[in-house]
Amino acid sequence: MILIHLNNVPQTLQQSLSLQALLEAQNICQHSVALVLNEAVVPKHRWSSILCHHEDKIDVFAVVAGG
Amino acid sequence: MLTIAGVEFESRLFTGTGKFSSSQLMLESIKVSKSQLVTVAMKRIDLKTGADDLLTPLRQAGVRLLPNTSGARNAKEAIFAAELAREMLGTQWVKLEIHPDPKYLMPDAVETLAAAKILCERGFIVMPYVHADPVLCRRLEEVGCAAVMPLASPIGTNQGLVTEPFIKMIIEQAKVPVVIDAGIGAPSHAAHAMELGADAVLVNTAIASSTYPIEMAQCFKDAVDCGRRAFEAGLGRVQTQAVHTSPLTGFLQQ
Repeated sequence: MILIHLNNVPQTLQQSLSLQALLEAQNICQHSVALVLNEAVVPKHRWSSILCHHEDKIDVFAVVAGG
Repeated sequence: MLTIAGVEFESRLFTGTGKFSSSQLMLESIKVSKSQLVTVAMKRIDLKTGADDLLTPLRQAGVRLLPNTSGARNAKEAIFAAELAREMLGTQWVKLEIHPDPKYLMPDAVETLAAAKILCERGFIVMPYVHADPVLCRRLEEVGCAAVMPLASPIGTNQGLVTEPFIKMIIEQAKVPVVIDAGIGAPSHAAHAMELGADAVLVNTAIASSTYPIEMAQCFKDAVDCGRRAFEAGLGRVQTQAVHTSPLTGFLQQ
């Protein structure tokens, strides 16, 4: 089991997932979000090849209304 | 035609997407405003509720998106936000805003200039939101900003062109487009900014928080068009002494 922090919420995974699989498991629409792994922006084309590790800090951002 | 970083805009009214009571109302208002450059913000999504898909309808509307760095308290955070926006939206354009003070939301000049320099070096099209400071605007232009966005008055206050004397100096000096941002509360404010020679205005709160936002969007469109046309037509000089418009011969005596 590994522990990750997804948008500041601790989550336990039974096995390591790719970032893409993690988003799919969370039902997060992928075409309109950006992903940050341990404070570094991860390009979308790398989501499927990067696995989550214990204590990873993962943040998912989306566009919201603003001025 | 307004050109920023090689992109032409028929409309000189830029709009924000915040504070509307619904996405539908926001989209309808933007459509009526004819705005072609629309600001958006970014936020960590709420894992429980998910995120509303703003992108799809905005892209369908055919507008260019201008992500802002709202929430950034310093240059480092703003640069990070810009990189995030580039990855998310595939755009180099960014409205750079750094306002650590939550009460008046005054932009931090020092951090903004530092961030602007780095972002320009990294190829971003930087449009910084700043106080109406002619010296700072010149410095931002020198580091490569595509436009400057001096405030009319504090964000969301609807106070209008409180900074008018300094806006005039910025317009006089600038070699990049000057977009008046923040505090424009009425179509007359927007028209006045355009009459002064501003290249564009950015309006959000005044449209979004009006009783009838779609109607107000139309009013702002008309005001911006009218103000720009007046500027191009050439306004008369302001005089302190009366100057007659009719012959001053004594009508009854001569």
